[in-house]
Amino acid sequence: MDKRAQLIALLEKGLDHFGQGDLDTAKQNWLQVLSLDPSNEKAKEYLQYLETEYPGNTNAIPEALEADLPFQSQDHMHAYTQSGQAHIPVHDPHHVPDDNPWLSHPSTPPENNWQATELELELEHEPNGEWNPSGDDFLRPNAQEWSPSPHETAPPQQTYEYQGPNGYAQDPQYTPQYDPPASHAETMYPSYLDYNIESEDLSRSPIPEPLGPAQPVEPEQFLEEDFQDPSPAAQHNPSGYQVNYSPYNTEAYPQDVLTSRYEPTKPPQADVSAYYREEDILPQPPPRPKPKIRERLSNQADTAQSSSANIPSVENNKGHHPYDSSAQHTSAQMPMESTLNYITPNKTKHPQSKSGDNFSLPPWASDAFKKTLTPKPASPKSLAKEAFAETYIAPNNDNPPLVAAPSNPPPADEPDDELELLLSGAEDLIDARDYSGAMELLELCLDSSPHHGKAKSLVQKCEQQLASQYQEQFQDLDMIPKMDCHPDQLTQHRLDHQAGFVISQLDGHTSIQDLLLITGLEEFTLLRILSQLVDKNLVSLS
Amino acid sequence: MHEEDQFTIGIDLGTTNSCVTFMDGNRPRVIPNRSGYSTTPSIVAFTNKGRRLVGQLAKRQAVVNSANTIYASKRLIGRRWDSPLRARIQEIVPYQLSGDMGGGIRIDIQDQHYSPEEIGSIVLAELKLVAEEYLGHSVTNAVITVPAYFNDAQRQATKDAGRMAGLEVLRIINEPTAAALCYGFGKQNNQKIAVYDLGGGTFDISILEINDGVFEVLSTAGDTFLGGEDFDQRVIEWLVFSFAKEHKIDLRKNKMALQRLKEASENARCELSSVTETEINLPFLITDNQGQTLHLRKVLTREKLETLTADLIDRTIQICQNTLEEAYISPEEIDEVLLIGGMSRMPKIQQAITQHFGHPPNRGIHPDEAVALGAAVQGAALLEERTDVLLLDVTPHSLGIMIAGGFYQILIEQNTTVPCSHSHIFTTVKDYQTQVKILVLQGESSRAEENELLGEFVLDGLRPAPRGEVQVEVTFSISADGIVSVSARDLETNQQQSILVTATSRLSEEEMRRIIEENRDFALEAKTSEEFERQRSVAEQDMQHILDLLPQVQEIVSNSSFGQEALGKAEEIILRTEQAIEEENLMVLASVLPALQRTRKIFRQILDHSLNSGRM
Repeated sequence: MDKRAQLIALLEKGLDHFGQGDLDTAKQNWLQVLSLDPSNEKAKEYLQYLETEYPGNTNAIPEALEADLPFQSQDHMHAYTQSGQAHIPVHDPHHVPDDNPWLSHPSTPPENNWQATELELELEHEPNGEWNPSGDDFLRPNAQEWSPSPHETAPPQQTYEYQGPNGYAQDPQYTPQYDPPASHAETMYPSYLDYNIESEDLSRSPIPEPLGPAQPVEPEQFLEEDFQDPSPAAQHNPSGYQVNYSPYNTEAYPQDVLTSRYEPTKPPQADVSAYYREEDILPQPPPRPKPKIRERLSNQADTAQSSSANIPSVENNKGHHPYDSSAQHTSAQMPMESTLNYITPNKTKHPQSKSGDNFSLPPWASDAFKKTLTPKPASPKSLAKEAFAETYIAPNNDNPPLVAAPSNPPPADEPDDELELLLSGAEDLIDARDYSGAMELLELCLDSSPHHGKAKSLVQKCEQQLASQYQEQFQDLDMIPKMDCHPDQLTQHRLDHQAGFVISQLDGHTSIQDLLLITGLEEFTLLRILSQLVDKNLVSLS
Repeated sequence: MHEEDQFTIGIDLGTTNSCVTFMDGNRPRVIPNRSGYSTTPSIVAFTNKGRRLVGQLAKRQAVVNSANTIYASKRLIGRRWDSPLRARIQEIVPYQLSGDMGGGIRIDIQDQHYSPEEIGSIVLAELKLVAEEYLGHSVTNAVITVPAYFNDAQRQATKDAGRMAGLEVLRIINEPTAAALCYGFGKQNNQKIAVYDLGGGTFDISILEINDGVFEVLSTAGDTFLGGEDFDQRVIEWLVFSFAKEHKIDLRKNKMALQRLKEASENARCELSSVTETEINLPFLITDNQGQTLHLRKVLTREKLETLTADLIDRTIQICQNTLEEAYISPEEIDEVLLIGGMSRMPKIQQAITQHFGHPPNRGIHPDEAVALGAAVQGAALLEERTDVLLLDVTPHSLGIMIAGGFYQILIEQNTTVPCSHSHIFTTVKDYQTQVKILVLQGESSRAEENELLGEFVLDGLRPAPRGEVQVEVTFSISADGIVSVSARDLETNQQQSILVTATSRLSEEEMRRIIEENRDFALEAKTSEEFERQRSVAEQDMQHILDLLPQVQEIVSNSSFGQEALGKAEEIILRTEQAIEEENLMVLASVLPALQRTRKIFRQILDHSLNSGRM
């Protein structure tokens, strides 16, 4: 390993430790950088920051990070970051992230002031994670009492008229007169959400932001819409009290609402911005691409690297905070193996980031970038996207940016090149009998070009092969899959929600056949999930 | 007497869960279902491949296959299409309802139109199957419980469901009465008891007075849309909005997430009856727009649950209060409060009841099983013709006919002990009237139109005479099952017409026969499938054993022609077994299994003999 790569690795390692709250080790890492390169500005900056913000330099997790943990602040839950990703346990400083790209991703600060404010309020009022503000709490000035005592529960609209003799005597004509209070969902939560979305001063940053300038984020619109029950029944019954009371009744929600989040419309033509579409980063994080295609991706990224001659080095990259996304662009200078591990959409400057004024956002990608409000794991799909995206990023010699984009959209024939590259990668993998890896690349192809004949035929071929593999693996559908690990250990693995659902249905008595009935998944999909779980030694078959 | 005739099973056909019991000697016992649970969800589902799921499996796929899953069909049983409740039920269930030619309700699933009775019969058939597997012989007699407020139509429909399931329903009894029986009431002195039944989907409160073995329902009321599911829903809401607060994702819109939330909420709610806090841990619950898979982990305390559901508990207490007022009884006059239904385990509910009635409730018996156990007690008493615990139920609603002016004349008052018979004499209202129309009604309103029409018939051949001269005697009879028969007789000519009120049995005989056959086929198929699986498992074990021994046996017997022949036969048997398994042919598998076992035995003997003689 050359010296520069070693320095970068150490810096990143320090950031990792910092993200986990292991400040001592982080400090050691950065000191080590200085011992190798005393003029390293980055390391100096980090150390200075550490000294300023954490003079005691304890091993405690920074408050903001801890408060951001998805499952509240519990000791054994330190393995999570704010975004719900599993993270390296604090007590394991020697852990080296291997093939899980997001394992090695540095922790990120609270993504915006809005969230930080909410965290502060929550810490102030909800030390145990509960939401029990009093009626005059400034959090919800217009909201009704959230947890009133039983005797004070009845809101003014509550009336009760008893039905006369024996209640049900007039059964066919029986119309329940009990007009229950509007449900908690209707009375409390929307107020709360309204408050969060509309009333909060987004520019306010009430707690110290230990990790750099927060990026103001526009509140997401879907929250307001989504929590107004769109079901026809709810509209028919504005109180909403009874309508939602059937937990099985997901049909009450219009299908477009149910699926809109997960089935966004596809753009009319394949272009680079398509790489940032929502569906591309949706479920089923697939395994990492196999070496051959990674080699290709690596070549692509190397091309991008060589063409970005003016990209400033780590040492010269002054003014960037450890968690400033622009700092991560230095990974373009790292060996490709590392680059692949560290590529995330956040590497590209957020359009509103103050520290990245010296480059412009490509017009064709602006919409997509707006969506990248939070970091996401570097799935193979995103790796591929990033690698290809970088091929379109050219330096601007007049005012050298970290990354730059062409002023015009990419030429029309370039997507075809990408497709060809992916297709040829898929074919290589098929030749190597890595059908699942090939499927991943082919899915990328079909995302860009849904009617691509060759891709379709290759997908069919892969599916056939995989189906026969699964058939061999799961000869008997009456086999009973059993969990082979403790549920608490599950989150250390990288699974999607479908796999999570399948695992949740394993009780030691349910056969694969029953799982097919319960989960409603296609046989191929279920077997694919089970196969992955068996491969990860999470599930065994009996 | 056949063995099966000695058993009568008791069935609590609940809105959300059902339970089957039998008398084991002098003690009623619950029959666990195939999964080992004492109760079976009253849920029926139909898969796309036409498979029918009942109980636990149907429940577990209820959210992901919601349109084809039927639950809470008990709310529909015996109701007419024009019932106001039908519209309300339609609002909350994912399956579609339609009306049939007879004014009944049908449930539309995959182009099929099922009557609620048929769905009930599928659940009952499953319970019958469970009982038969457990007892080891077929079962035909049953006592089924229904809510005290069920009218005649609903009782008849329940009885029809039992018949379609292949059961002979000896008696339909009230759920609170069955619970009281289970608690051992009836033999003691006169008592007034309140039965608080908060189940999965409904809440009922009944005030019973027991006088020398006669169980009189003084008052009954409830809410057919209040139960454990509503409590679960509160927990789900809490989880959903906590998650939304953190991740800005609405979990309700993902079926898989919702199913997991539902299961977790129910489990947490149950656990909190015995512990003060529980953790809800749902890893990999949903994938967000950024491709991250998110987890849910929350601690729910008992206190929090009580806060979330306080108004629901208050509602039940308010209904209790009103019911007591209806019966002109103060809470202090109630000698015992019996708790029925899983939700009644919730400490807060028990606390509220204690506060309301002034003394703690009786918690002697499993609240999920008490009703079914009472039904078994009654079933045994009926078979053995014992009178000490033989119930004398009361009719829950008044019965009468429509008279001139659109009024309602009650012949049998509500809470009259059944069986009973009452007569009343009416006269003609028009001059030279030769026929009268008798409209049989059930209800309490003085206006005929506000009561439920049970049936109608015409008595003709009356002597033409001025109005008021001709006298017609109308007689109402209610059997012990609560089935009403009405007759009208011209006292002068003795001309008589009668009607057995079975109008609510809206299914034709032909349809009922079809359903009975279908249920039988499904039961047979299920049994065959299970038997095949059992035999296949044995056969595969034997085959594996033989294949493991084969190389060594081949080596030992290779030199003898007898051995070669034996090996050939063994291979042939294995081939036949494999073929039978592949074709799922139980008959062939059953025929080849003994040969397979013999082969295994022979192989083992050959090997043992060889080892003993030192050839290996």
